This record gives sequence, C-alpha cells and structure tokens, in this order.
Amino acid sequence: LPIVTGVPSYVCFPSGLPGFPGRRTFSVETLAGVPLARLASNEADGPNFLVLTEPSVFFADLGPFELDDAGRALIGATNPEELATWLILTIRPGSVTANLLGPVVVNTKTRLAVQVVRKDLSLPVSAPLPRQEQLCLS
Amino acid sequence: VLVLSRRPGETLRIGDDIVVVVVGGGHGSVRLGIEAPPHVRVFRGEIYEALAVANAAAAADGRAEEVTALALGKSS
Repeated sequence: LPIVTGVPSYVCFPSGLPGFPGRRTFSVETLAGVPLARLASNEADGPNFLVLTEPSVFFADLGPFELDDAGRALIGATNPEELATWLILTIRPGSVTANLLGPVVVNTKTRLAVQVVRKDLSLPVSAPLPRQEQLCLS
Repeated sequence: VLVLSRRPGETLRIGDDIVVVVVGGGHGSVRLGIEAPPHVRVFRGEIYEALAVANAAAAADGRAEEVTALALGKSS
C-alpha cells in the first residue's frame, strides 16, 4: 500500500464518489490521537465520511495494489511516496466496518483523490475493524 | 434501452471520447475493451452498486458531530 506522507487539509475527487457523483471537494479534519480523519463535503447537506488514514495499523495483510493508469492520470500520481490510502469507515451502533474493496487513494501533493476498486473483487466493503479499542470505539 | 448488434472487433462510440470495442465473446460472456478519459471511471455495474451502497451507509449526513463523538468514545 502507498505510504502515508501526511494528511492534506482538503481533498478533491475529480470524478466524485460512487453514489455521490457531484460531491467533489471535502475538507479533511484529522482527529487527535487516532488515525482517523473526517471528510466533510463543502456543500450544504453534503455527506461526511470517517476514514482510516493508516489502514496498515489495523489491516496488516491488505497486500500491495496498483493504481490503474486512469486513476494515476486522474490524480496526477507520479511518485508512489506521495500517495496515501484511506479506508472509508461505516459506524453503526456496536459495529465499525471498513471498506476494503474500495479504498480511497489520495495524492497528498496534488490533493486529488479517487475511490478505486481492488483487483481482488472478493474483498468486502464492510470488514469488521479489528482491535477497535485502539480507537476508543465502543 | 438502445440495443445494437456488434461483432468482435467492432466498436461503439459514446459521445466524442469513449470507445467500446467488442474484444470477443462466447461461453456465456462477452469481453469488452473500453477507452475513456481518466475522469470517466469505468466500473463493473455490480461493483459500482456495491460501492454506492457502502458509501451511502458510510455517509453521515448532518451527523458529523455524532460520528466524531462516537469515534472518540465520547458518546453514550
């Protein structure tokens, strides 16, 4: 997985996100003490997402994956060290799950992001987050 | 729905900059090649649906504070 090199203060999804095609720009607020960030749409009534900014802490065996050519062209990725991978979390009472099939890849330099699809299509969109106590999640 | 017949090697153009070519077929499946500009993301239909459903479940419309509080264990 790409190496995290810092969390930008905003990101832009040039193609939106599946299900939210028109929502492109999100502010990014990191949460102190935990590897989480909140993505807040800059539009009124836009969605918010909670993302795991350091997936490898919780999912050590995610395995390497390639950003496809279109994705690379979209976010201007030339240097792998500028890329970060975030996992979108879903919080329900008593459960926190992460989307392993569709991670978000962020170019921390251009602040452009894209939700990609892993080549292993059997990966779940809602994998229980292991060791949730490390996030103080109840 | 527009329905067209195409043979392997033949193409469709969608707008000015999307080309779909029938690479081959048979045995109950059809192989397609798609050329599209980078901003046009191409997904298998069921994968797009799965991501859209997952994103909708993950999105916290107007509940940002609640979600943040939950994440930090500050909520009941």
